[in-house]
Amino acid sequence: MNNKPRISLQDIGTELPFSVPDHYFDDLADRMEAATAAQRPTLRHMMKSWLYMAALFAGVLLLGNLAYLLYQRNTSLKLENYERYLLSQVDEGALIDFYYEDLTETEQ
Amino acid sequence: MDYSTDDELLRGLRQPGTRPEAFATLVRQYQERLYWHIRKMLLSHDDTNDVLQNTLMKAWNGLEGFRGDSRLSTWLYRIATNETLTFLAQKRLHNLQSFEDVEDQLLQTLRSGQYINGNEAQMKLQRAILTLPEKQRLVFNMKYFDDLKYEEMEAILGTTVGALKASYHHAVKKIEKYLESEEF
Repeated sequence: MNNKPRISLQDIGTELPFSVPDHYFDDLADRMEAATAAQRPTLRHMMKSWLYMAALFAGVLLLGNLAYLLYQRNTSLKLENYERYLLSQVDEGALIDFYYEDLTETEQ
Repeated sequence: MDYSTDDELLRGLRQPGTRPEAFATLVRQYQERLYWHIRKMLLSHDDTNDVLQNTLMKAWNGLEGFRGDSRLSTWLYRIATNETLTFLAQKRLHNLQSFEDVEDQLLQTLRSGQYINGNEAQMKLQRAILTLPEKQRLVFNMKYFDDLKYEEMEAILGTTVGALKASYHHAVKKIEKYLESEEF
């Protein structure tokens, strides 16, 4: 025969066998306030991020300007080469004749 | 400002100007619930204190990402649960070298830890809970001690209501068996 006293969940209930140090929750709330205050962005931090943004913007502007200048230079070079090519294809004598004819026509 | 409802508290948390004040209110409102949720799993006050502080700091840092899809309490419980399970996993990993079981350590805490002072029946229940697998322990604690609704537990743990009911039912059976098997 089993003489062991039986104990059920109902007998035990829901109370926990744990405790906390005195004023623990008041102290915790204060500690958390201090910890989060240390993480809040200061004016210096905010200024720092603005400076980063300004530097980034200036950099993009500079690069854009440089790219535009290079593009312009490339385009004018191409145009110059094209003119040179055209002139190389034209007979110099015919060109003088053409200008000469043009001059005599205006004189008349 | 008045932060008596979760909606008001959320509004305060969303505004950078009122965020610190609203967060202080959140800490005071939820710290005890979160503390006991963690403590039931870790048993040690010191470990619970560390995990709770990590939980609250994660909540503070994640405020901007919280869009209010779930209740504030659900979100906080979820962070606390993840932090607790991560803590236990790290402990388990650390113990691989010493071949010591986390459950044995928890039993040790129960026997000689600070701020543990219940009667023999309560201690026996805690020992019985320690025989459950980790996730089942979590389910049992949330239902038995906190009387959380299964739907709320589903939102926190990401497990279906059916699975939670089955898990709790099995946990109760195991605990009752343990209580019957040991002399009181």
